[in-house]
Amino acid sequence: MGLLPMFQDFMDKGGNVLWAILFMAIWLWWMILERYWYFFAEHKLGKKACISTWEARDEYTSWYADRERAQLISEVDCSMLKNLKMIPTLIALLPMFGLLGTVTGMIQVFDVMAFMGSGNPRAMANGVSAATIPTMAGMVVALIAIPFATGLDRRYKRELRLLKTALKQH
Amino acid sequence: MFRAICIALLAMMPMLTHAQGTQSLKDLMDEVTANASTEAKRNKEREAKFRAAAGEQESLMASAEAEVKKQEALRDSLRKTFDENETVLAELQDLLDRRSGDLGELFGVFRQTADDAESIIFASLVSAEKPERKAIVSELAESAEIPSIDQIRSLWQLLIQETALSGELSRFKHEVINPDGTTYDADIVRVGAFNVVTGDKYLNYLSEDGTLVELARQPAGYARSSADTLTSAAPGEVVDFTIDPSRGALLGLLVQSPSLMERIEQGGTVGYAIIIVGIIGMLIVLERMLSLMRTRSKMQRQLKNLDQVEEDNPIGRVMQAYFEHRHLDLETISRKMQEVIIHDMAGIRGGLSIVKVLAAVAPLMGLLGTVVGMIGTFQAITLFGTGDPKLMAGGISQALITTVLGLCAAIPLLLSHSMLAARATQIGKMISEQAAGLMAKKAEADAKGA
Repeated sequence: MGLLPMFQDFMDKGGNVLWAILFMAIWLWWMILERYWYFFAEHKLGKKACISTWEARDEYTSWYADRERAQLISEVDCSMLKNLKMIPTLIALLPMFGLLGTVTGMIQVFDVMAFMGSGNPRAMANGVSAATIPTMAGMVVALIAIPFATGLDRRYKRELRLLKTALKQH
Repeated sequence: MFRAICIALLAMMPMLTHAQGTQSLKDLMDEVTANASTEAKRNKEREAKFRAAAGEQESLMASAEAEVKKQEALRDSLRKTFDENETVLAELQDLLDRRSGDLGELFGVFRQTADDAESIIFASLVSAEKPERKAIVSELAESAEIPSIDQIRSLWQLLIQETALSGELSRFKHEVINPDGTTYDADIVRVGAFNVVTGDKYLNYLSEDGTLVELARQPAGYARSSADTLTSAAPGEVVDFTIDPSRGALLGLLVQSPSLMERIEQGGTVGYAIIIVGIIGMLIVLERMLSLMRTRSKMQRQLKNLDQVEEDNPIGRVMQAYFEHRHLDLETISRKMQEVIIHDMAGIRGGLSIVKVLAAVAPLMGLLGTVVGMIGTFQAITLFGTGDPKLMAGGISQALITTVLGLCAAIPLLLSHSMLAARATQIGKMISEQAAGLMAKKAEADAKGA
């Protein structure tokens, strides 16, 4: 069996909810990768520009300086925060999608039972796999993403702290 | 003999009384003597006759005994023949059994196969195209006699034909019954013994009366479009087609499976309440999203043009607060600006908490529906016992559907709450820090210039 037919078979067994989970997983991983790309490449440029603007000032103690420092930090903060809060939300939503799949699968099982009685486990197997596969898929995707999400969060906090110390108030 | 005489004497007694006198007595005497002699003579005759008869009886007896002997001999000979025949019969039966051998089994198998073939051919979709096969197979299945070679051959041919036809695609014309009861003639495409379609519609074959009925509920869109491509395919063209391997049983169940609206109805009151909560939540989200977008675009415009203060956006209002109080000391200016910012942030963050609450409430309502449905199920069990799962189905459907609805309402609400919160935070940072910073820069430049 090729990879694509195996994938199609898996998606067919999981039912419609599995497609939603696939979509959510792609979205989630796209965001995680985008954040990593940001921290590895774009963030350094933004930080450098921010620090050089601050260094260009002739005094660092007035109220004006204080305001400008807050502004500079907040600009970098905003671009760091972009999409960052969506990642934990998506991680929280994935198990909910799994639960949704479980319940729709159970409905499928009960539909089969209403037509054929409970004596035919083979007929019910389809609903049972539609109930269990999305739960598993949701859990797996969420669990794999959790370390990356916490890693990104820690990185965000560290970068913010570093930026604040870099913009010295003499 | 003496008794006979006495009887005769007694019979003459009345005559004696009538014939009075001695004369009459003498006559009587003569008469009696004469009578006695006649009597004796007659008795002799009878005696002789009896003697003769006795002899005759003896000869009769002898002949009867001879007859009995003869019949007994006949009986013995017949019994012997019978016994002989019996053995011959047994031998012949044995011979018959030996000679017919497997043929007896063959006839049994023939009957069984004919019965099976009858049910197969009656239910087969091929019979919609070739209804004449039904009569042939019923005749074979119902005949009680030993089948002839022709009959055996025709059964074999029917089965071969069924096998061959179930692997081929054919087009024919047939009457189709609509779900609303009207009929029309249509071009039918039969895919083996599995499916019949016309256009993009799947048909159901009713074997009892040999009619084709359009399914009231058709399968999913891709299956219908594959039926359409099959119907319009050119000869020899290879097309994909979605087949029902259960020969129509699954498609038949499709008609009974509830539609989306029926499913929502199964949720009951709690289900509708969840839907209302979801709709209210989404309306709030929509309103918030639009207003945040508007605020943001106005802020962007203001940030591009810092010289002219516009009062329709938070940054403008912060700037205005600064310009109004610029003659005061910095501490007071900060306080005044903070006041404006706090006021604006309340407007920006407003509604978000409601969305969050609704997102939390929707799954809880789903749980409520689950419990209500379970109560209904247990009520049914109390009343009717667990014997009939269908009586419990209503409660179970409600329990499951409300959970689904709760999740379906909560997921988009949570998602949009997170988006809105991120956007609101961003806007808040823009107002409180960036606006202040920009203004400070501008004021500093002004102060230097002055």
